[in-house]
Amino acid sequence: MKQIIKHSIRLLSFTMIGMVISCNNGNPAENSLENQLAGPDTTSTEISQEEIFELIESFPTPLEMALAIKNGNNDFTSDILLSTDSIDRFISSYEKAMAMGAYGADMGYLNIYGKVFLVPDYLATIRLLSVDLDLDNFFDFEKMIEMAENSDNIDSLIQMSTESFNQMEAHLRDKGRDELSLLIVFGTWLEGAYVIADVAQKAQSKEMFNRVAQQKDFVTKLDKIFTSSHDDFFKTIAAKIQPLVDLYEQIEIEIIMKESTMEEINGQLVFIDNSETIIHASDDDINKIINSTIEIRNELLK
Amino acid sequence: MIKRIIILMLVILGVSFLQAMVPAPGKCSGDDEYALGIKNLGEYMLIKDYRISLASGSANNPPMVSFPISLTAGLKYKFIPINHPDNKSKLVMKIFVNQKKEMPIASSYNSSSSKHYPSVEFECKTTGTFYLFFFFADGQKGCGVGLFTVSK
Repeated sequence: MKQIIKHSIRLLSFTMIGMVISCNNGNPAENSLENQLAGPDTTSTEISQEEIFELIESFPTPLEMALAIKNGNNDFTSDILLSTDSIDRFISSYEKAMAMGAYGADMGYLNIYGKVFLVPDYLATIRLLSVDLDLDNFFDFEKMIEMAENSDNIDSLIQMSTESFNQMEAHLRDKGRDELSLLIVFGTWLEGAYVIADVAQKAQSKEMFNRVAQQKDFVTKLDKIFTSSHDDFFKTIAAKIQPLVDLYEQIEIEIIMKESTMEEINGQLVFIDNSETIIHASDDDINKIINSTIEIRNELLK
Repeated sequence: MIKRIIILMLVILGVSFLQAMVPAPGKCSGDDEYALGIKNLGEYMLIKDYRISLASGSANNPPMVSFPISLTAGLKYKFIPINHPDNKSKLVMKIFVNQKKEMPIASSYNSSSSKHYPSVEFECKTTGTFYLFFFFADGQKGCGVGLFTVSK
């Protein structure tokens, strides 16, 4: 009889503990992302998780970069993208993560510019890289290839790709693999910056030169993170992008923030940005940045 | 006596089980809200979804979470808050130029008319990093999903 009572008390204790844990779930500090931010720094590169998280979140997606170029009626040729042959040139997991980001960026450009017939090759390449990085379970490659082969499903393919990359990024953050997340973002950015540079080189237009100049903020942020790392691979990247950092120091971007205009159009609330961006840079400086960007991308990814 | 203890145990277990089934703010997965929002994107493409769960606080200083976002000049963005059906107040998405909440540039809630909008569009002319804040009006607890999307 005493044993039954003892068991009952134990069970009661577990139940009470369970209830306390359950109640705590309502606390704002328990928001999963907040937890990740507050968690211990477990990266192998001694960069704070918060800084990496901020950096990752503050980068534009390949879709936005591609849309910005397309909206300016700029021509784009898929010949400039990375070759899907011989991906064995990427050996370490760091190189593979960087490549995965770059191929993901290429896929964004192909989707936005309607060159979907090339997407299956890029998906196959991303699949190989993701298998090596043990990240393939975030992608339903069969379904995505099927969508790419059916041009009516482009929107679904873009959405599925975005969701897969977002889930993968969240998983890497959960597992404290921020260095891989960072390299994926770096690869994505580098390939995107390269496409911008290539299009700008051909167009020689003010609009594209401004797009090149606007990469300054991203280069500065990446440089800050890579130079503060003690990891050899990160230090190598820091050294490789240093000429670009130096070139960007020659240009100045002045942002004049102004209140947005609010309008209600057909029941839809619309805010129109009235801020201004003034870029102080000579065409010569921008052309040097273009050449340097292309050189770094070809050295690290081609 | 033993019967009473066993009955008490069963009651506690039952309450505990029921509590686990109720979507308390911290337990809201947001999957249903996400599915609802994603169906109605129309001419917009998803960039990121945010699963939000906040406890109650004061109306003047409601609990908030914020995330850095990148906006690109020349693009049009749409921010869509989707509420859990049990919410007593509506989820607000508000974008500021910095984390100190200085200079709002867009909001799904118009404080002058006290009106909530199902979405808010922002026509961006400045490339940069901004901060997306989430909170519930009047500091109520609640959960939901915020969709950050870009025009095709």
